[in-house]
Amino acid sequence: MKNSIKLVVACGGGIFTTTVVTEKIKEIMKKEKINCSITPHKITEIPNIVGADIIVVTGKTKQENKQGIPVMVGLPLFTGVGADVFTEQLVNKIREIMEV
Amino acid sequence: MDFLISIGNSINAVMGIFGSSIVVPVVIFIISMVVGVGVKKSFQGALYMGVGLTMFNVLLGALLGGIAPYVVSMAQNVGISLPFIDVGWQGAAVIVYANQLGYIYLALGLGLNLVLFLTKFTDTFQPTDIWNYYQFVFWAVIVQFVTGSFAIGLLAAIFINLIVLLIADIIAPSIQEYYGYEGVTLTSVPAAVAPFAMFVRWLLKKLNIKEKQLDVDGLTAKFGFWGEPVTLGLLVGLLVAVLGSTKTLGDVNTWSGIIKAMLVVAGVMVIYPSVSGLFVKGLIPLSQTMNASIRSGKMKRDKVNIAMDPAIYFGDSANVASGLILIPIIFFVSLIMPGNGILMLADIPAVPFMTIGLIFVFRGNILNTVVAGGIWYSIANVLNTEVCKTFTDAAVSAGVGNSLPAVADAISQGLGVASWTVGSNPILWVVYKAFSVEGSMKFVTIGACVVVYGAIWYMFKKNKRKFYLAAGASEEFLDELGH
Repeated sequence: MKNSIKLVVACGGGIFTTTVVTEKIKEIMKKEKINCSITPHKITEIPNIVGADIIVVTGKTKQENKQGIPVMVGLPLFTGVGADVFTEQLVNKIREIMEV
Repeated sequence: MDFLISIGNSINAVMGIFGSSIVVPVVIFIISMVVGVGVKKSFQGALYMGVGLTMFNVLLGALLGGIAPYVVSMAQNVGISLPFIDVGWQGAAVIVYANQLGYIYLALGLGLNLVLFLTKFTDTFQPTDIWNYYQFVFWAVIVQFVTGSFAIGLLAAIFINLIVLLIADIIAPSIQEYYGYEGVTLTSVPAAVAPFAMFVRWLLKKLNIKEKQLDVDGLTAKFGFWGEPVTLGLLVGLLVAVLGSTKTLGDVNTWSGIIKAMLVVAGVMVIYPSVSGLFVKGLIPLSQTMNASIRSGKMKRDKVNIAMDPAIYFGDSANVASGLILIPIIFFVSLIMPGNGILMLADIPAVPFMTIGLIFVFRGNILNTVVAGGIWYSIANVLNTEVCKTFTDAAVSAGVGNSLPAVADAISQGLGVASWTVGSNPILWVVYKAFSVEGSMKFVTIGACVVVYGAIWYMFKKNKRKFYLAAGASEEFLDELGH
């Protein structure tokens, strides 16, 4: 059982969409009372990221992590379309990871 | 127009006393309040913007102080003259928004875009991409500095904005189909190469050349280091410092200097994104509020192309692969390309952004993207070089870095700044040239631009489907959309 979760948010330059999505995830985590730390990265760095529990990307990508860290496409948090569905999926996934 | 100029003049007077790092956040605060962002978020955004502007100046000083002497001696030693140091799209954003035309156009452009969208002149809703306005206003700022006229600069900004919207309308179905995102498009600088990609695609079909697909599985993982700012900083720092010290390489002190310069460049490359992240925060609330208002249905209509930041298109495998292959090609060509004076640096990791406008037109064909991109961006470097001196003047006039001795020193030695991505826009370069012709001849050249734009606009309105197909969309997808 983990008491906090390490997230990575990644986009093309690790700046604009990453900042938006990071703020949204912070709000969600606060609401769900989950402790988290969020680090920004670039999509090209995804294969080599270590020490994170989950990676959220802001646009579609087929990049995979060499350590097998799950990658989720968080575009809905940027555009707002389908944000509720994604939020639910993200929270479920995070709870699943934390229970291990 | 007189009214605008008098506003501009009084802002200038205030600017002289407070400086851009104070005035620009205040302007952002006011615009945010007007569109209904809320006091707290508006203030936070403006505060981060002010902090970002201030820290950018500090970083620029460190970068120029560390590398400028080597850039000068590299030209003397080996004859590679690259006096314009690439400070990236972040640098262009700071410099454009710190200029009068840059921040005034944030408000004017927002209004213009809303009007053009509501009157159905365009299907593209650009206010969501307000953060990227600087990418085309850059050229209007250049026009303003060359002609010395705010009015001509403003006219150029409006005209260039129309071109950006026309391209965005033409490529929208192609992007939507390729990426599988509904109702989006691209108005930032990566879209500027799309007309060239459409031309190449047409040419390949005419010449009956079969398209070949490269197999690049695993390539992104292998070439990923080209996208790492810290490695790139070390490599470029090493190259420039060694070429700048060829006469004294036997001396241990020389190597101590080289290694220090490498660390400075690598350090700046690492910290750079965090600083621009601060600057971006100033415009995020604005962009998100506009996003919410278009999605909420108040302005809803049948066909809407919402302008989105290019980051959401970046991660496509074919795009990342093409971009990573192109980085060394464009960089090494830039070293030997006659007429290029830009030392590519801060924008090297951004090369895979600039392939987006090619990859969806070519439907993911990496070979086409690499060849067409290599040609287009190498030419673009030469055209971009021509405006670097003016861009540097714009930076100094906006108060960016000129309080720092390192920057003043570098400029007095004939060095300057460039932005690789934002300046890589040959179509808008032509428009800038037309608006900057001396005397009354400029009315002829501007008129010619307007006529060409009008003709293409009219042809597009009459044969939308043909344009959509040329941009890469398929017959089936267009049927589905009801075009």
